Amino acid sequence: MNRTSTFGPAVAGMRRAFALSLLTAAGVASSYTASAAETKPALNPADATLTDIQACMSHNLVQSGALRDLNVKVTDREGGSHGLRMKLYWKPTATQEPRVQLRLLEPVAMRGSSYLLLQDGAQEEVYFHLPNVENAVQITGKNMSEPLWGTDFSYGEIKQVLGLLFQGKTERVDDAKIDQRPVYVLNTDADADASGYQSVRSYVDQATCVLLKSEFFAKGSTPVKTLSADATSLITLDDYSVVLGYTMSNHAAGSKTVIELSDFTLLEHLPEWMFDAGRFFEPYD
Amino acid sequence: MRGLDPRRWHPRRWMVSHPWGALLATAALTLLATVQLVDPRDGHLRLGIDSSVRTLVVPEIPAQATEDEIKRRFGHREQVVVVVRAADIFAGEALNTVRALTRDLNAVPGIESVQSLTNTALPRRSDSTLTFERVGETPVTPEQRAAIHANPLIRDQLVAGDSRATAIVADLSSDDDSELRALGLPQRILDLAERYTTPTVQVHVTGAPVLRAATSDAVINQLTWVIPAIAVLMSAFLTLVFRSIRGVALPLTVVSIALLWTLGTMAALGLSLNLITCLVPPLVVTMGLAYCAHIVSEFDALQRTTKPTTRAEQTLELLRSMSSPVALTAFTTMIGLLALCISPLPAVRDFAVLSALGVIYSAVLALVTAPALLHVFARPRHRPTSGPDLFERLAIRLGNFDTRYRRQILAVAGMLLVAALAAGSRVHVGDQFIGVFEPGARVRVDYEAANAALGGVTPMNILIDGYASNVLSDPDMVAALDRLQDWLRKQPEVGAVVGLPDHLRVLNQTLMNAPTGTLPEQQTRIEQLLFFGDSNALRAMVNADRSATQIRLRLTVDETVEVDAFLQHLKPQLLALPQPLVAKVAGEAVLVTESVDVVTAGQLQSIVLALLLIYACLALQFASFKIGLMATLPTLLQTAIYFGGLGLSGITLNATTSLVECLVLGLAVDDTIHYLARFNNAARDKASESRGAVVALAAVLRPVTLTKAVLALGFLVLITGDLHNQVVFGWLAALTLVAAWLVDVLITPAFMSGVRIVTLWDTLRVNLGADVQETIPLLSGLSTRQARVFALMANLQTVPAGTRLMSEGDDCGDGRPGDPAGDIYVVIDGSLRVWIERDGQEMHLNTLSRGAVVGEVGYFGQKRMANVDTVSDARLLRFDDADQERICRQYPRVAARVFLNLNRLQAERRASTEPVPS
Repeated sequence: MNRTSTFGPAVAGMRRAFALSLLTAAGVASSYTASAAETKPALNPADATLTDIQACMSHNLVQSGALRDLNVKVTDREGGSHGLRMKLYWKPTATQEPRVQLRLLEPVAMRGSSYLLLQDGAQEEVYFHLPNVENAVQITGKNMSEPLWGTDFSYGEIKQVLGLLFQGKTERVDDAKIDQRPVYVLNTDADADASGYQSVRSYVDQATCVLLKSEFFAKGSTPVKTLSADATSLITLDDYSVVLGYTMSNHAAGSKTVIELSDFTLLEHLPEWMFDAGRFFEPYD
Repeated sequence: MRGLDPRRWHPRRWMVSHPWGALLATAALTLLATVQLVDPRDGHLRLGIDSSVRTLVVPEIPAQATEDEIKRRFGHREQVVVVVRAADIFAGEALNTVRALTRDLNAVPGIESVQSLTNTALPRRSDSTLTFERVGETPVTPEQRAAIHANPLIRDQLVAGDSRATAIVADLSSDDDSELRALGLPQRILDLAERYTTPTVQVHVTGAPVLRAATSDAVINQLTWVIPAIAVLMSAFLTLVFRSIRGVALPLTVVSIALLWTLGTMAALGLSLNLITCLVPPLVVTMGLAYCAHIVSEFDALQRTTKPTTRAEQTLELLRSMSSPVALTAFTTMIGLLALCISPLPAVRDFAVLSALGVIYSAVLALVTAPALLHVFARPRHRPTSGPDLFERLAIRLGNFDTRYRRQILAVAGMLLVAALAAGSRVHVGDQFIGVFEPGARVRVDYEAANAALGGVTPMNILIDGYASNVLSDPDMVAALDRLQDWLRKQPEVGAVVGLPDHLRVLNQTLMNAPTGTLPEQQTRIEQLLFFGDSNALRAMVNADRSATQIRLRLTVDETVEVDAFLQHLKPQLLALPQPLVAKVAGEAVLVTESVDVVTAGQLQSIVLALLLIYACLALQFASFKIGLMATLPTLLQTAIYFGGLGLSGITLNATTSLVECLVLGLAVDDTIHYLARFNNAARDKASESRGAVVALAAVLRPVTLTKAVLALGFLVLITGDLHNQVVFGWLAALTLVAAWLVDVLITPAFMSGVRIVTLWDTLRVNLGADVQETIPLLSGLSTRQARVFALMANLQTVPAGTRLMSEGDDCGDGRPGDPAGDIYVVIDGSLRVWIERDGQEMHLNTLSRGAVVGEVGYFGQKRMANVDTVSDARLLRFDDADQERICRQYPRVAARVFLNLNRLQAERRASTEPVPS
C-alpha cells in the first residue's frame, strides 16, 4: 500500500464532507489496523526533512475499510449551537485508490443524504444524493472556500489540512511547542483562488506525527481560522497515533466547530455498491 | 485708578500691575495645549479625525439597535464597491478589466476578499451534473448571459440588468479608518480604478470607506486651507480698518492661541474632529477675531477721546470699558451654543461644549492677553480726531431715519415677520448622504455614476425575526418574504433587492433541478436546501437556526426626505407580515434619516431654549418680564427671518442648518444688549428716547458693524470648503449675520425709541438717599425697588445751584413728551427757593428740601404760579404726564401708587394754609 497517496492525493481531491470526515476517521481507523501497517520510521527532529515528516504522517493513515461515527457540534456567532451526526464509510480500491461515502444521520430532515468521493489518480469524482430524490448528482468545479454544512470548515480548509504536502509550496520552518509538546512547523503557500487562503501553517507533533494545529491566513499575519487538536485525546496504539477531537475556530465570524469521534467499526468487506455512483445512496443498515 | 477700591484686590488692577505675569501664564497654558495637541516625542498629531457618517447618527435610535443586531447575527465587513461600466460588460475588454481588477484588488493589503463576476461560481444544472463555472474563463456564451440574468444573486447584485455595468465588491479587513489609511486605502483602490479606466471602460469607486476617506480629506483640507484663509482675509480686513500692525498682529496672535487651547482641549478630552466638530476651529478663529477687533477698536477710540498719561491708566481704561461688553458677549454666545447640549447627537453636544470653551478662551485672551500685550508694547498716546468719523455720521443718519420713520419701519418689520413665518412653515427637515460633497467632487461623481449604473448604491437592511428555530423554513413564511421583496422591487426608491427567497430559488434550481425561479414548497425541502447549500453568502442572509433573516436593499435616493417617505410606505408592508415575523429596518440610509429627524427636533428645542435663556437674561438685566420680552423681539424677528430664508431657498433643516441659528442667536443678541444698554443711558441723559436711540446707535454702530463684518467674512470663507454642509453653514451664518446687522441698525432703534427701559443694574445703582418712603411722600408706600424704578422711568437729574426751574406765568404746555413746561419735580437732595415778584419786589414764599413736590399744578395744565430756583446743587426727580403714561403701561402698580400719593399731596396742600407754591 502506498501510504503517501492514501493521506495526500486522496484527500486533496475530495469534496465537502469527505474531507471533513476523513480528517478524523482515517486516522482513528488506522490505529485498529496496526497489524497491517508498516513500522513508523523513527525521526530525528533536528535532521527530519519535509519528506521524512510527510512519510511519518502517512503512517498514521488507515489502509483498509472502516466505518466511523462522527459527532459535530457547531457554535454559531449568536452563541446558538447545533449538532450533526454522520457515518463515514471508507474502502480503498484494489489499487489502493481512496473511496469514501458519507451519510448523514442527523439533522433528521437530512437523514439519508449522502456524498461519495471516488479517486482515480489525479482524477476525482464527487457525487451527492438528497433525500426523496431518485438519483445522485455529480458536482464539478465547485468553489473550495465555501463553508460546509453549517460548520466552520470549508472544502478548501480540509483539503489544505490533509493535502498540505501536495497543495502548494510547503517548507519546514522553525520548530515550536504546543502544550509543551515539540512540533514541526510546516508552512504552505496555498492557491488563494481555490482555497481562499494565501498560506496555511501546520504544527505536527514530533513524537507521533499527528497534526496538532493549523492556522489559515487569508492575508497578513493574523489567522482567520485556527484548527486545534484536543491534545488530551491523542492516543497511540502500536505505531499509530490519532487525535479524537478537533476544534475549528473561525475568528472572523466568532464561531467554532468541534468534531468528536464516537464508535467505529472495522468493515473490511463493505459492499462495492456503496461506492457505486448509481447506488451509493441506497439503504445499508 | 478710577472706580476701584485701592484696598481690595481686583483682577483689572492685577492685570495692569502684572502684564508680564499674564503673558507668561498665557505662554505656559499655550505650551501645555501644544503638548496635548502634538506628541513632543515624535511630533505626531494627537487630535484624531472621525470622518464616519456615524457622527451624524444618534446612538439611541431604534435603527442603530437593529443595525447592531444585524452585525451581531449576520456579520459585517466594510465594503468598497468598484463599478466597471462598458457598452457590454461581457465583452472581452470589459471582462478582462474586471478580471485584472479582481486580481489586483486581491493583492492590495487590507482587502480581505474580493467578489466579482469573474471569481463567482455560476451554477449550471443538468439532469445528472451540477457544474460551477467561472465567468470569463472562456468567451461568455449566450447561455451564460441568460444564466447570469436569471440568477437573482448575481443580476442587479453583481451585474446590471442592462449588462452595461458590473460591481466588484472588496471586503476590507478592518473598519478602522486609521488602519486603512496606514495601508493606503482606499487610495490604492482609487489608483487602480484610474489605471484601468479607458475611453470605453469606466471604473468608479464608492462605498462607506471611500466616503469616509473623502470626508476626512475634506476635514483636513478645511483645517489646512480654511483657517489660514480666514486668517489672511481677516488680516486684510483688519489692515483696512485699523491701518496698523497692531490692529492685525494682535488679533491674529490671540486667535492662534485660542485655537491652540481649543484644539489642545479637544485632544486632551479624547475628542475627534468630525463633520460637526470640524466647524469649531473656524468658529473659534472668527469669534476670537471679533473680540479682538472690539478690543483694538476700543483702544484706538480711547486714544482718540482720552489723554492717558501712563501705560497703566491706558490699560485700565481699556479694561474698564471692555470687560463688561466682552464678558457679556461671550456669555450670551455661550448661551446660544450651550443650548445645543440638549441635542441627542453626541457630535452636536461636543460641538456645543468645544465651541463654548473656544468662546471662553477667546474672551479670556481678549481680556487678559490682548490688554497685556497692548500694555507692554503700545505707548500711551493721544490721537484726537477732528470730527465724527464715517460710522458716527452714518449712525446719526440711520438713527434719525429710524426715529423719523419709526412707524413705517415697524410696519415693514411686522410684515417681514408675517412673511418670514409663512415662508418658514415651508421648511422641510432633511439631509443628504453624498450631498455633503460638492457636485464636482470625485467621490460624488463616482457615487452617482455607480448609483446610476447599478440602480442604487445606498444600502438599507430589513431584519426579519421569527423568534423560533426553523420559522423561516416554513414555505408560507418564505412566500410572505417573497411577496414583500416583490413589492420592494416595484418601488421607485429601490434599486436592488436580495433576500432568502432568492437564495432558495437558486438552490432549488441547482440542487433539485427545479425550473428556474421556482421556490420549494415543502419545509423539509427548504431545510435541505439551506443545509446543503451552505455558503458565506447564505450565512449573511439567514442565521444558523433559521429564525432570522435579512433583506438587503440598495436605494436609488440620496435625500433623507425621500428615504423617510419610502419608510412610511414600507411600514404597513412590514406590519402585514404573518405572525410571528417581526421586521425592523436599518442601514446607513435609515440611520441618517432617523437621526436627522431626532436631531432636528432636538435642535429646534435648543433654539427655543436659547431664546428662553436669552429672554431670561434680558428680563433679568432690564428687571422686567415685559421689557425682557420687548428686547427679545428683535432676536425673534431675526430667528423668523432665518427660517423664512430656509423656507424660501429650499434649504432643509438638519444638524448643520439648525446649528447656524443657535450660533447666530448667541451672536445677534450680543449687539442687541450692547445697543439697549447704551440706549438706556442715552435716553435718560438726553431725556428723550428718540435722541437716545440716535446716540446709542452712534456709540455701537462701529463695533457692531466691525464685529458682524469680521464674523460674516470668517464664515464666508467656509464656502470654499469641500463639504456641502460647510458651504451651507458658511453662507447661512454670513447671511444671517447680515440680517442681524440690519435688524440691529434699523429695526431695534426704531422699536426701542418709544420705550424707556430700566435695568436691574440701574435699579441697584440709583441712589435716592435713606428712608425714601418716609422722607419722600410721593414715593410713600412703594418698595425700595419700585421707588428706584419710578426714579429711572422718570428723570433723575442733578441741577446746579441758581438754575431757574420754572417761571411764574409760564404756560404749562400740552403735556407732549419732551415739553418741559409741564414737568413736576421732586426734591431728592438740595434745596429750592419759591418766590414771586410783585411790584418789582421778590417775595420769598418757601424753601423746599428733600421730599418736596413742585410743579404739580402744571401737570394739570394751568399756568405756573411762582418762580422756582435751585439754591444749592440739587438732585431732582423730574417727570411729566408722558412719563406717567409710560409708567402706567410698564409698571401700573407703581404708577397707581404715585398717582394716589400725588392726589393726597394735592389734597393736603389745598387743605393746608400754606401758600400754593406754583
